[in-house]
Amino acid sequence: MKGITTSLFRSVTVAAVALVGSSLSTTVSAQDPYTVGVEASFPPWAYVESGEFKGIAIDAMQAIADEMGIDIQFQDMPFPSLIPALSAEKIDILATGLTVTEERSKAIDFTIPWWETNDVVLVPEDSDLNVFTAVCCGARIGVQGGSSQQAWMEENVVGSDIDVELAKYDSYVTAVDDMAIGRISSVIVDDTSAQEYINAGKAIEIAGKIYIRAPLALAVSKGDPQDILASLNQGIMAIYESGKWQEIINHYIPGITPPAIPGNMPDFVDTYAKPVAGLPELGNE
Amino acid sequence: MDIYDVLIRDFPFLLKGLGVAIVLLAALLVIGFVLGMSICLLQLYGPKTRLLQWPLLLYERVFRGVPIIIMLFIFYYGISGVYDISAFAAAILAMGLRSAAYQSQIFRSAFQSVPAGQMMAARAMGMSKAKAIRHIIFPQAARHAIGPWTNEFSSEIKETSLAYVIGVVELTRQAHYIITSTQGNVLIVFAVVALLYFVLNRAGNSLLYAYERKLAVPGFEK
Amino acid sequence: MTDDLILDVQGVTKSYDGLEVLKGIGFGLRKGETKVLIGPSGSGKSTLLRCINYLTRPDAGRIFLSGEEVREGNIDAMRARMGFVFQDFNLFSHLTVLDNVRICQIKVSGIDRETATQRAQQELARVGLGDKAAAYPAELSGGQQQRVSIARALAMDPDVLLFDEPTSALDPELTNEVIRVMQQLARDGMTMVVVTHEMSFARQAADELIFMENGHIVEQGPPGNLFSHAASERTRAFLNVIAEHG
Repeated sequence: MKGITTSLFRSVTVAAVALVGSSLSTTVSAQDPYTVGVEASFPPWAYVESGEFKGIAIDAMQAIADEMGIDIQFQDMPFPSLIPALSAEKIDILATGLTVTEERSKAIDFTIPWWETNDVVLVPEDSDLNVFTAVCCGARIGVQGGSSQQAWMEENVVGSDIDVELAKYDSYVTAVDDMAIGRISSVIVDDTSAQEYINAGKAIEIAGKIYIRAPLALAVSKGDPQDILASLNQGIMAIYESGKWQEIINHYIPGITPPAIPGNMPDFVDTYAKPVAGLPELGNE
Repeated sequence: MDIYDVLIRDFPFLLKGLGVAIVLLAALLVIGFVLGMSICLLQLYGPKTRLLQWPLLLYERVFRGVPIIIMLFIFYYGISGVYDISAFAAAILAMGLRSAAYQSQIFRSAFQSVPAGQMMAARAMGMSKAKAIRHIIFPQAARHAIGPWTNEFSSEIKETSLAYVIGVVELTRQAHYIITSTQGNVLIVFAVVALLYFVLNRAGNSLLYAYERKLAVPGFEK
Repeated sequence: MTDDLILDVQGVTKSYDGLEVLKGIGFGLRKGETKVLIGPSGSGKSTLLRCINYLTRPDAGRIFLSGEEVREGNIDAMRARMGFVFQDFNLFSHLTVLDNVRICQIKVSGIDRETATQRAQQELARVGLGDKAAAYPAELSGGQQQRVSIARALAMDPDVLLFDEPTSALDPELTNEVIRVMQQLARDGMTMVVVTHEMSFARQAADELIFMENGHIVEQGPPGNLFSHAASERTRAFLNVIAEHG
């Protein structure tokens, strides 16, 4: 027994020293690939299948990186962590279905918009709710925590005297499943994702559309410390013009025509002021 | 392809996630053990000056009082201003330091349950304090510590899933990948994950109970 | 200081919270001598015994073991040469009887395992417990446990053995087996200081009795003298009370 205690003491100490030694040293060198943060539970934009990152944002980001001639690696994080991680420069680029908002533009710098979404109200297939009744009168509405839909709902609906309750989820998939078993009455989600859920055979339908023309874009840390915003903008234009973008979109959402790039560029975003980095002919006057 | 085929196809990734969870668990428990034991020994046998004892007490209170998710954020984003720490290292540190606070309490009450006469007798025979602790007090305290330590082990297994908030892809997150890429199947996938956690927990507990039986002393009250 | 003194205690004082428990105690012990400390509860006997090996640190005074002064700096080495037997045995409860007797030989004196085992078995046989080597303390009676603790002290080959009320925690029927072992040790020429209320042991085994009261040595001398005609009234009164109980 003495032997056991002694060897326990010894092995534990050795293991601790070895672990602390090895795991704490993340060496940073100039050749390191850029880290692209994604929320990989957000199909069709970014998800993981059989251990591989997939999705529109993933493939497009890879195509842009090829255009730019840089190496990238993807890092999955929960959506609410992505912007803090970008601010803290734990990741270099944020590439998820990220909606451009005024608030976010204060913390991070956006590329030119590469997509535009409108939100839809999802209800169960057999539901008799319509777009108005689904978001009023005691309805419990599911959104993903930290999403632009949550922000929009809080700004436009929850604060007013409409009687609704927001249920915040880690991911939209959970929200949609919760709606199926009756925990919530409806889900507000972007139109692209909604189409994905319907294509996947979920027993849901679109009750109506909320036209918000929300631009989606990539983002880098505020002030563009890595000096990559210009190349990213050029890369986005390049894959759009070469048809690669259309090809990627159609791979994930067959039969859809992507919005033109650059899309609607709100003037509250300072990186959209003329001249836009890398694309000097663009921008708001 | 139905969910069972996907589960079979992607099972290696669940195992990989389990592996990450196990490494994280082992590392945080080791840090917690070494540091927790040091804190306990300093509290019980170190100099009784406030200069030493107050910081130890403060450490223990803070790390036991702050939710782990907050700690994870503080360690990941906070430390990165000074040192470029990886998410995995930040998780090990945050969870290991917190476990140290809990383990120091487990060890402290285990050491205190060893009668004072044991230390006195060892010292009277000419043992140094360090030798007495190692050869006489520790083996007896270990018996008292294993029960509560097993609880700490079990609760830390569950906590490893929280490391995902700073991007550590462990078992729960791997399960999430399957759920999102197949658009649902929450119940089936998480049932499999729950089973994996259960097996890990049982395996760990059995080892610890075996160690406890080995330390049992005949004729001594249980 | 005389050369042949094994133990030389000089002017030891000790106070607890302003209460003076030892008021300058001194006595000496020659090789092979047994001295028995007697006196009423609270007279400072046990404190004195603990001051000798610094389990309680004296406020003042000096202690020499075989001519070498006991200090804070050499205390572990000095303690290894002074066996101490506790009232409540304090055997190491996680170790077998054999390990109890040999662990300090190995870990303190650095004796190799085989030699330590032989010595341990020898000392266990000496206290009549040669067949209990594999038992754990909790499996033994109080008397047996105390004999193991004597063997544990003997195995260190000490210059002197200090006994702190070795039979006070025992039922009367278990006292004798311990007393017999101690008497045999005295006959074998072991140097011992014993705090006890066992007057039969004091009468038969002690070379000298030291009667303490209120932190002073009131009287000391051969047991025959003290028992028959003690000089002090206090000593006589104490011995009478003890005699009635005994």
